[in-house]
Amino acid sequence: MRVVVIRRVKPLPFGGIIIPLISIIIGILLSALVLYGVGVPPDIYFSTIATSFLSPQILRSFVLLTALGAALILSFSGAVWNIGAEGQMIWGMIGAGYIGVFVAASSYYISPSELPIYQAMPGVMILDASPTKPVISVLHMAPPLGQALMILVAILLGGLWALIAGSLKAFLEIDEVASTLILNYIAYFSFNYLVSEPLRGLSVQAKQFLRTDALHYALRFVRIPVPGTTVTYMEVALAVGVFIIVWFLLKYTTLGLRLKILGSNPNALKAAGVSTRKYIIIALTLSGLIAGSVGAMIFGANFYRLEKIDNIVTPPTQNMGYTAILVSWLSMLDIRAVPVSAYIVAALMQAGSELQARLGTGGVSGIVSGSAITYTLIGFVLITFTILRVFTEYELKFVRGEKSGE
Amino acid sequence: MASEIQVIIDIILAASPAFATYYLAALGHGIFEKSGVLNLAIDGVFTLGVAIAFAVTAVSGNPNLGLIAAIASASAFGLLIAYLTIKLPISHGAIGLSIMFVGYGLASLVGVPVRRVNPSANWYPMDDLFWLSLIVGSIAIGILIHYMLSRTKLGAAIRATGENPHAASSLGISVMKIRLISGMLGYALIGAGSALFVLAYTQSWTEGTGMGHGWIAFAVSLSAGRDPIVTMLASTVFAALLKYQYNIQAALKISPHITNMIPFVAALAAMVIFMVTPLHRKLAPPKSLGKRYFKEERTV
Repeated sequence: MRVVVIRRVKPLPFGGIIIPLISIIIGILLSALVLYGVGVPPDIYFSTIATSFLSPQILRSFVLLTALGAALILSFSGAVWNIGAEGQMIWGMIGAGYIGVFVAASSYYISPSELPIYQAMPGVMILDASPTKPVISVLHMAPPLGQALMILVAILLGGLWALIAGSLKAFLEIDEVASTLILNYIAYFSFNYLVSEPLRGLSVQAKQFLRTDALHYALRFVRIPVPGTTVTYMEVALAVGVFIIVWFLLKYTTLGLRLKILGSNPNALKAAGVSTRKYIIIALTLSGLIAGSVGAMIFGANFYRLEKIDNIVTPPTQNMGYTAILVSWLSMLDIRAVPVSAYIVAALMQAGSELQARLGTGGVSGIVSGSAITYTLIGFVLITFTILRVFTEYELKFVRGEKSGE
Repeated sequence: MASEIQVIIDIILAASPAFATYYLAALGHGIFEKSGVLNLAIDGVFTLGVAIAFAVTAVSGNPNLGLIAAIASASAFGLLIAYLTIKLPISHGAIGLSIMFVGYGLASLVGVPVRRVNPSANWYPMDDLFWLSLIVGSIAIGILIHYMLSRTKLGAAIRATGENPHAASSLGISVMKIRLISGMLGYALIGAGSALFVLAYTQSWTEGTGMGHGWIAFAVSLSAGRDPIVTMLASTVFAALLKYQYNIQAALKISPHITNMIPFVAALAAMVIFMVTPLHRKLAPPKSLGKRYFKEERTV
């Protein structure tokens, strides 16, 4: 009696739904086991996960993960593994931050006696009302134009950052997983340099902590008035736009078809006289463009300033560039399933930070960090999924007889 | 004159923990990839090895136990990756990335609670004798591995498995066995490198220590064509960049905020140099690197 893996005659029925679901459940159970080992009570863990599925707080990460998941699907469809959405988002933040704080508006020192005059002036925001060296931010253009410019530059920088890895892969065959990951670290450190020196703000806080001045009120993205959530109109518009564009690209255009062939059979593409290099670059750059726009959202809808990353475990991107990998894999690279898996992953992410907060009051504070939970959970779901996905095309069979070698 | 030589010797010795870290990790990575398995889990297991070495040392008070624990846990991951990629038709890249994330998560879970109680540990001594033994030890291991890969039956089997596992199998080589051996051996070295990173180089641990340095080891190995001797040269360069990044920053008068970036930029540059020069043809990657080895029916 032995167990063999053989190819199925037909793919597993509903495999695209069953396999991701089972992976999530097993992944949660495995991570619960590991977390129990370090002292996290499973009942608290499970109840946190259950409640986070209904929490309105997940709306924002759901929206951003939908955009990022769609971005990664574009590149993963071409079997181009863009693990660098983190770095591309960071450059998006830098682009949006530069435009928002230095171009669309900028900060000035004023003399303390002028403070009351500026306080009454429209279009002027008091950044720092210190009695010795007050700082104001003055708007230079219409807010919608400024916001559009912020997003545009973010998109551009995100795309350019991905283009580096794309060119390395296309022309030098350097594995994009390694290069995009190394580029993430370079992006984090570039960000730290930029906010500590060239982009560092004038206000007292900016002098004290390494950060830029705050974004002018008028340029901040407007929140949707739903209680319990911090999502903005801009983020929802972005996610819907990206979703439709990626869906359309993959389903109806030659570009999308060629990307998919690049993923399944690059030799067929070469035989048809199509440059695979071009499509590798397109796949990475397009997903970088979208990741860059998400970076603009992180800046303009949430942080309103750029601040030095103290520990690379907790970047302002909340590691969404990595969590988005989970989103696109769980959707089995089917764009229609992206919102569903983005919702699930957003809930799991929320559970991670919620759990950290809950344990803080429960006496085991300091034992687990939010990022540890997120990484453990992502990792176990991914491993289970990677293994189980095999069974959409293969099956286990019990057969009689001796082992016949490998 | 004598004092100048002394200075140079001191400079070399002080870089030995960084050298041993990168060399052992890159060496191990090279062995595993020589057998044809694309190894993308390296950074996660490296980060986990760092945390385990720290935690065990902090609790037991003995850095040797930390080193052994890191080696043992890392080789378990090597065995796991080799087993899964042989037994099931799964993507090497996907399983590697998944294990990378698990490694990051477990590293925090292992290290953070220990650090709360014991913020420091009994690190390895920072003296010339220990540093010298690190250099001699890792070079000796490198030469042994070089001999093993190029002169022994096992080495030939590892290389054959990486080039063409089907042909190797028909010649009577058990692909499973060879990849398990190279996975275990390779990851043992990666574990040793990670332990030395924290116990001898940083001598402190916070959440995230070691993250990214696995990728530098990856780049070191790639840019050296996975050859044990060339890897030695590449590791020397990266050890110098890591150890003396602040001196380089001061000498070049660049911003201190850019300093941390130097090894990562160099890692990217090294891969580019390797690929644009004829080096990549002389030291070509194994032909079946990252390809699924699956014969349609397999006993689990």
